[in-house]
Amino acid sequence: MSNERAFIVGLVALLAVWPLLMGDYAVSQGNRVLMYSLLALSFSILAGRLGWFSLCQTTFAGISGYVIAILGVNHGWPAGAVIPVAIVVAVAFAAVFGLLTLRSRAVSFLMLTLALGQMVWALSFQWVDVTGGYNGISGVRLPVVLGIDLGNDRVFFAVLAAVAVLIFLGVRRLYQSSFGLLLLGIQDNEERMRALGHPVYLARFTAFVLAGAIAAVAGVFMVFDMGIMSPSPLGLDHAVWVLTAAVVGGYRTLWGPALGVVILVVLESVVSQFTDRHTMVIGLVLLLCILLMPRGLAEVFGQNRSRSAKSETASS
Amino acid sequence: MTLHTFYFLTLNGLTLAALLFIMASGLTLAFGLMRVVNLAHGAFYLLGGYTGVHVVQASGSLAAGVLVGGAVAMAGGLLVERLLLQRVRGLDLSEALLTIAVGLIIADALLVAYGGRPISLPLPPGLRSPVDLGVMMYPAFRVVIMVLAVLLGGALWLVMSRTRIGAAIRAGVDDRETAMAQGINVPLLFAGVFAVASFLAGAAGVIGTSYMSLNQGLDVRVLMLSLVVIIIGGMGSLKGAAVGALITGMVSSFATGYLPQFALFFLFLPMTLILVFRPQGLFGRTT
Repeated sequence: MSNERAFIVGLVALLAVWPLLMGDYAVSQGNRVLMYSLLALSFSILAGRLGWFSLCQTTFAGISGYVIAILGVNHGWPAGAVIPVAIVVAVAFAAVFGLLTLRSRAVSFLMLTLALGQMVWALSFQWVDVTGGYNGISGVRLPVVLGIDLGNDRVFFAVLAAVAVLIFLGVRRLYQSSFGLLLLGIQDNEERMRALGHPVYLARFTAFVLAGAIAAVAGVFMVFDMGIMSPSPLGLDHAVWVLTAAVVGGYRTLWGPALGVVILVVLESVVSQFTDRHTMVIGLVLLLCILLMPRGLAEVFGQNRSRSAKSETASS
Repeated sequence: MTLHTFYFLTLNGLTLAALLFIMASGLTLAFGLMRVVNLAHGAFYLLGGYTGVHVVQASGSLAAGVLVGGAVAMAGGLLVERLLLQRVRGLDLSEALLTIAVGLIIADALLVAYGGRPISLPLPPGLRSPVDLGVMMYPAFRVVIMVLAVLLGGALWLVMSRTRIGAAIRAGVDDRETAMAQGINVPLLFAGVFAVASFLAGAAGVIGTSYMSLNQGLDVRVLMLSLVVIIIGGMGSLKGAAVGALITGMVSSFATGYLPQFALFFLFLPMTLILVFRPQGLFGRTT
């Protein structure tokens, strides 16, 4: 535990000095890492705790991005008003998707989230009057508040880092709470948890909506960072990117997803000297992960986890 | 609504349903036997489609295009099954993720090779002209799509219900261990079914390209539509794929005719109702 405390203090210190010491490129890459870390965290709450691999977490980020672009740019709402509305709309979508997928299992959940997410993607293409279709909506900007330009890369980094750290610490509490243990218990043996009187469906639904909310927050930062909202962040390749990052870093742990994002971002900037086929590179990384640890996805970690879950329950 | 519009939308719906059935039949077949959701299905569709366009351009024969497009996708499917899927056999989630990775790689490679420009199929002259269906004139190639779907459905049904291979496949689905103990070579059967499913995906790509042009991102659209069809019909059921395709095709055609901006919403509606009231799909079995 004290090791983890030291790690958290070190991480916060690193995030605090990063925008002060590093160059423009490193800061913008840092922004990318932080935003995708939130998405990967959102993914791994469902994958690591419930065994549910979701391909629609990026969809919730995309929905909050579109709400901000549509209301902020097309209707001229102020940023202070669009941000909460965007998160509420995205969470409402998460609630609907959560209800629709509630009774599904591993592979059917993957299929359903793929179909639902890609439907929203297709809608963002087709509904040209509202979404701007392929070209999207450009000109999404953060305002200047009290003389501070929130859109400045370094200021943006500071706000994003603070929000991300708070969310990660919140999820850390959640994983240690009885609710977090209940989710692990449901993954291990759903019938047993139901027999013990736990509200299994309610717990799963809550986890789904919570993960959706985190993705929605990530989406807010993403749209302001890009300055434009187009269908591409809702595409399947983005969803698989996030999934791959979580798998590479270890989706059963709290910090693993963020580590995976760092690894993929570094990998991409290395390979971009040779090729711009990022989708292919991500596909190959995912392929290698599955071939090298086919059981890692399903069983090896599963045993470690049930052991550690038992010891945690015993000690509490 | 005039009667003419009604006939037109009905025929469009039937054409789309036929195409959806051809697309989804391979997916549901592979799932029915192997419990593998082949999420590279859309990429195989693209692979077959691009190959077919070349062949049709060179030979002028649509049939040759369909066969060669299907064969190339089948070769790809066999390679994936033998080299990759076998290594993770039985781990459902790993299998599904592996096919996603393969699909992304294939689609990205095709994007490099063909660029983002839409490509449509050069139809042979005989198929371009409209034919008289009694109620109205309708393009010949659309009639061909409908006929092909009915023939395909009939053929698959006959093989599944009337032949020894069909019996072996059904036995392999119901009880793998017992089927193997009876001397049925289940791994060979699996490879065979995966090959046929990939062939159908590739052939669908050639047939479908006469209806909608090949495009960047079409692989994901095709995959999504096929998933919607088999979610409605019930995963693994051939009858379900036919009914799911009919519902999706009709709803989508009439919605596009009357409320074009909400066409996708109406596509979403039947799937939602099914998920709420009958999560296993219309003809799906609960496991």
